[in-house]
Order: sequence, then C-alpha cells, then structure tokens
Amino acid sequence: MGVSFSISAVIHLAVFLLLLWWGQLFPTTATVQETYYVDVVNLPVANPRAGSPTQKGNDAEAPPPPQTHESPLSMPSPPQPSTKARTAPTGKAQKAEKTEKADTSSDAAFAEKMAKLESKAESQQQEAALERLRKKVKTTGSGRTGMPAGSGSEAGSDYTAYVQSRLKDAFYQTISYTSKNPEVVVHLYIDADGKVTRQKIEKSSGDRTFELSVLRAVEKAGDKLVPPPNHKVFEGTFVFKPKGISRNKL
Amino acid sequence: MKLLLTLMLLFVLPTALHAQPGYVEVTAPGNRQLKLAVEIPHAQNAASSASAAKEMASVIAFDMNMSGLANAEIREPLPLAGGLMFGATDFAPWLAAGFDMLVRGEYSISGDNLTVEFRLYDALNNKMMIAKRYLGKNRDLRRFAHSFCDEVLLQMTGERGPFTTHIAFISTQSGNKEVAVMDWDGHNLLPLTRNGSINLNPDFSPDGREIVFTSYKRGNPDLYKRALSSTVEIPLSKRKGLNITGAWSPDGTKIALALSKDGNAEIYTIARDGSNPVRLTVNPAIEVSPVWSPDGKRIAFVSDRLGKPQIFVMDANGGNVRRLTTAGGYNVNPRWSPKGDKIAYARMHGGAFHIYVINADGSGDTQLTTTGSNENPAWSPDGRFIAFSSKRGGPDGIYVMRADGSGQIRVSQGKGNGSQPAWSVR
Repeated sequence: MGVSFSISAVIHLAVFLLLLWWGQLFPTTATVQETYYVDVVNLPVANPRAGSPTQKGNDAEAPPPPQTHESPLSMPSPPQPSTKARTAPTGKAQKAEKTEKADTSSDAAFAEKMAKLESKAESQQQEAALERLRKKVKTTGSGRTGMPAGSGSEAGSDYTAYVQSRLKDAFYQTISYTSKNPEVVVHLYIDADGKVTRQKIEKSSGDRTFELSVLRAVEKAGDKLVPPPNHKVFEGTFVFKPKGISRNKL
Repeated sequence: MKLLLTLMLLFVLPTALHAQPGYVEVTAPGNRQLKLAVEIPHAQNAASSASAAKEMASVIAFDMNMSGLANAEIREPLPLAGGLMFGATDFAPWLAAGFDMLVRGEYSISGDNLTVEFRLYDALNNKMMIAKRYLGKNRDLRRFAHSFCDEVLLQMTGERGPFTTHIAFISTQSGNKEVAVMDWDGHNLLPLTRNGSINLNPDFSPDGREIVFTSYKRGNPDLYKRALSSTVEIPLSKRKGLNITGAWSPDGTKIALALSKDGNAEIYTIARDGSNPVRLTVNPAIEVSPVWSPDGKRIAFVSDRLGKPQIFVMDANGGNVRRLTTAGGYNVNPRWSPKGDKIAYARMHGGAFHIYVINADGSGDTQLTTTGSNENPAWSPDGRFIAFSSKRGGPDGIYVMRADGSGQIRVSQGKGNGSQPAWSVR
C-alpha cells in the first residue's frame, strides 16, 4: 500500500514538474510581437527582374523615398476660432482675441518647426538605412537573384540559376525516356568564355535514351552561354528528371 | 532541453541527409518521341538505281518506327554538294520541318557491288552521331540498312537493335508444313526444309547456326537438327511416341523436349547429340513445351496436372515445381524473355487465343493482343519485340509487336499460312 502510494506520489510530482517545465518553455502569456517587413528586394534593385546575366546592372537609382505622412508625434493643429466670435466682437473680447491670436500663431510656428525637424530626422534615418543596404549589397554581391545579396548585375547574378534556366529550355526540346523514373546527375564545367568544356554523368538510373536526351540538352544549352561572373570557370551539378516524376533514391 | 535537441535531431537530420545539397534540378514535362527524317540516299554514280535508294530509306524508316523510339518519315533528298564526306549539311530546313534527327546516306552501285554510307545527325545540335560505311553485294542492300538501324538503337538505348536477326517459322507456301526463315521484317524468305511432310516447333541454337524441329517425315514425330548452311537433317531423338517441342539450353549443351516413350508426354533433357535422356517430370498428366530461362537454371513448361493446361516452372533438374499462371483455364506456349524477367504465353478464352506476358514470379499478368486468335509468342533477342502467329480474317501469319503490345503488324508475306515463329539470336 505504502509502496503504491509513494510510486503514485512520485509520478504525480513528475507530471507536475513536467507541466511546470513545459509552461516555462512555452509561456501562455507570451506577447505577440507584430512583425514589420522591409521590402529589401525592391529597395536596391530598380528592376525586380535584374539579376539575369543579360540584364545590365543594378546601378539604377534608388526608388524615391516614401511620402512623409503626418507623424503621430506631431503637435495637434490649433483649434479654429468659432464663427460666433468673429461676428460679435466686443472690446474685451477683441483684446482677448489678440492675445489668443498671438498665442496660436506662436504655437503654430512651433508646431511647424517641430514637424520640419521630425521630417528631416526621419528622412536622414531613411537615407542612412538605404546607404547601409547599398553598402551591404555591394560588398556581398553573389547571392541568388532577387535576394538582398543579389547585385542584379552580370558579375553578381546567380549564374547557377541562369545555367539551370538555359538547360531547362533545351531539355524541353530533347526530353525522351523509356523507363519509369529516369534520373541523371550531370556535372558541368563551363570555362571563362561560357563554353561547356566537360560534362560528366555522375549518376544515372540507366535509361540510355534519357541520358542521350540530357546530353543533347546540355549541348544545346551550351551553345550560347554567357560567360560566368568575373570570367571564372564555373562548375555545377545538375539533376535531370521528367517533370512530375519523383524518385526517392537514385 | 536535451530531449528537445534529441527530437530535433531525430526529425530534422534524416530530412537533411535525404536532400541533395548542391544538386540543381532540371525538369521538363512529357516524353517526346523523337522525329527522325530519313532522307532518300544520294546516288554517287550513274549506275545507281532510284528504287534501291528508296528501299534503303523504307527499311530504315520501318525499323525506326517499329522501335517506338522515333517517328521516322522518308524525305526527298536535299542538295548535298561535295558528298557526305566533304559537304556540309544545312540543318535549318530539317529543323524548320520539326525534325530532331536526320539520316543521310549516299551509295554507289558498280555491277553487282554496292557501297553505302549512312550517317545519323542530331539536327538540334548540328552534330554527327554515327557514320557507317558498308561494302558488299546488291543483295545486301536491306541488310546494310538494318545493320545501320542496329547502330542507331545502340546509340539511342545503349543496346544494339535486333534488326539483322531472323525469324524461323512454319510456312505452308509449298503446300506442306515446312520450316522457313525470313528477315525480322518478313523479307528474304528462305525455305529450309523441303521434305514434303509435317514439320513443327523450330528453335534456334544459342549460336544461331542450327535449328531443331520436329518432323513427321518418317511417320513418327521425331526431333531433328540441321545447320542453316546445310541441307542435312540429323535425327536427334526418334524414340517411340512423341519427340516434340525441343528447346536449346542457353549454353547449347542440352535440349529440353517432351517425350512420350514411357506412356504420357513428360519433360526430358537430352545432350546436343541426342544422347543421355534425363527425365525431369514424373506425373500422370501431359507435360509439353519446355523453355529455358536465360540463365539456364529454370524451365517453364505446360502441364495439365490440375485438369487444364497451365504454365509451370521448375528448376533445371526437375525439382521445385510451382505453378506460374493462376488465371485463365487454358494457358500454353510459354517463352522466357531474354532478360529473364517475363514469360510470354498464349491463353485461350472465348474460343480464341491471346498473347499474355507475366512476370517470372507470377505477378503482372497482362494481355497484349485483343483481336483475332494469337499463339506461339517468341521474343526478339533484345526483348524489345514479340513475334507471334495470328489469324485475323485471312490466313494465319507471323506478326510482330513491341513487348508492351503496341505496334502489331503482319510481317510474313506471300501465300500460305505462317505459324510457330522462333526468333534467332543476334
């Protein structure tokens, strides 16, 4: 009896501790932080399609800064005088109106000055942010097209994606196979002039007809390739397969 | 925390291992059938004949269309200044007509001598893929074209085509059932036996030089052997009763056959000279039509031990007998595919026979023919085609189809019936 009770107590305690630990890991009162996304793709790249090696440069001008809207921190606009006060001025009232006018004009000037200052600070911040992005883009330079690291110029474009696109176009014209799930892995060497100097079949599912269609596609695509970035030799491995056919293992 | 990490490793790591980092996928939809232009070969001298050129082009187009790999069309020749050797081929008109590949050729005839050169071009890539030159006699014209198609298939599939092979069959052109041989496409018919009797079940030796067949020429169905280059028919087994359905073993040392010397028909093996009979089946039922697996380790045969004829498989020593076909009430004529994975056979239903294929393990039973009555399937040596005898409204004839049942076409020509085809080796 005593043993059962102690085992039960230990299990309950363990479950309680587990729940406690789970609650610490995933607090139910966690505040949901709103996420703001900055469109870094379009900021530095004038043309979102820039990135193709045939596209010229990302030296395009940065987009115009966004329009400045009224800041929530700006001063409230001064209240408009009532029409009644205008139509029935008295002496006292006129005096009071004068002082009020002086007050309101100084308030408006202050508010205007504050708004200008805030606008200037905001535009300076935006400019600084843009400058930082430009610097980042120039220094990193060779990411995938459309990503912050992509320069959009020939030198910095994703050459692999370009070759893949050319191979795809050629493969559409040559694809032919006789087996159920053909697949061929080809390693390509492209020299500084954009010429395919070597193509090596690394793996094949054994469908010779499919292999032939892949090699024909490589040959066709290699006919008019743009030289790799900075005229360096390019190496890449491409896996060819018919669309819609998946294969778990090669 | 450790638990969490372990769980992450368990779930994330296999996915990461399965991925192929660095592999860029290139895909395209569909499966195109290549379009092949077969240009009528260019004549090199005045003695050349236009009909010979057209015949060569038609042979190539037929072979390539039957292969199922290309859609071949015969085209009139375009100008070829300088000949194949020195002339440059302009692929623009061929590409404009939608062709992927092009066969060009040139030939010259001098008396009885024929010289032919064929070339296969990849029009898309402006590249020559194969070039073959053949020297021979005028009668070799079709063989040269078939031989070039064998090379084209080798280039396209990695396996040489069967287009230079032959089909032996039983022909009644002479009025009797005689063994004859023809090209795979039905041309160049050559009668082998002329004994005026009934001859049945021909089968090629593994080297393709000899044929075994059953003949009633001495009254009893005895097994004979003859070389293709000879007229001498050597009796191999003339035992009492049936000596039928002889089949060479893949190594050529034995022949499996059905003998009824002890009463009912049983499966035996004999040596290539007819000696040393070894009984493989012991059963009161009728057992006939043995065929060897390509590795020589198993034999498929027909037995009615369960009441109706069915296909069975046993080890080459007669042990481990198991039933292969379980569907259909009348299954006969088994033939093992050259790759060993399938067995073709004929099944009777609705009063007619149809060709089926079944995997060697008994799965994947598939009907290939649906019209007429079709029997005696025989695989081409590369397993790409199946020849069979068929009755479709007219006299029985030899037909050929692709192994998936497509492209059925009659190849035997002339009068008389054709039946029981056997395909030669390469």
